[in-house]
Amino acid sequence: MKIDDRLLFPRGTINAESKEELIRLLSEKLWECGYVEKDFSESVLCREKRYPTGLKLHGTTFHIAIPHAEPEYVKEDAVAAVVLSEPVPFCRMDDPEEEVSVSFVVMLAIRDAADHMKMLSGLVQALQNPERVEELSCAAEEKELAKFLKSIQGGSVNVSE
Amino acid sequence: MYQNKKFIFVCCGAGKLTSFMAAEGLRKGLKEIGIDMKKLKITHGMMHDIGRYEKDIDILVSSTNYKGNHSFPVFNGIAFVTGDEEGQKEVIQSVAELLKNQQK
Repeated sequence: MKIDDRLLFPRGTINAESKEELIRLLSEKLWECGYVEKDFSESVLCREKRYPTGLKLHGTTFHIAIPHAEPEYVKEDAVAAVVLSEPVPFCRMDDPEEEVSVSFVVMLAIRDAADHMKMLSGLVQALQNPERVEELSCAAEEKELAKFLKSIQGGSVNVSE
Repeated sequence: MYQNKKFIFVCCGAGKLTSFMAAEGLRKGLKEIGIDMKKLKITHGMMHDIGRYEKDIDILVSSTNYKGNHSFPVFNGIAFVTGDEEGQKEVIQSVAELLKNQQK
């Protein structure tokens, strides 16, 4: 999967009051760049309600959310990522009634479940390293975010099924 | 149904992402401490499917907060998703204990 700089937003370049606003914004960008169908954003919002994607990570305060849609809304695999100066609350994946303040949102427009998992496990692993978190929160340019995402692609968990 | 294998069902809401990660983590962890994987069947899927497997499940691991009342033990497997290694060890140890006891 190629990383498209037009979908990467370093700290301070996007602010949102709510997860809904953020999801709409990122979906719009994905759509403008031709990676997803017009209905992608509705599918993500709907999915987020049923199966929230906020993830309170262990060993860091830099928590993430990985909103995504059903695969049929994806035309070509892509990720949109934003580092937030003001964290936005997302409901927790492991406990939908609880919220977590999210600083890094990676919207996945990826069709294959195994690729999803590689991305997620790579992210989780990277964010447990304080240096990588620092690298991410200080990233001022798209290309630095791109470098980060490229480095985690591939992840570390072997898919055996 | 599973040729006398112990059946561990790992579930999450959508049955794709986090249950997959937890199932992989559990599989790897159990193997590492010397559990005979041939006597084990680990499947991941939706929380919704618990009912379908109810009769066959020996151990349930859920990566979402699940509070159901069942005849089999239920563990929380979110540690496999968040990277909490201590938490992962705890689950692996507890599951291994149970497997040993159930085999007696």
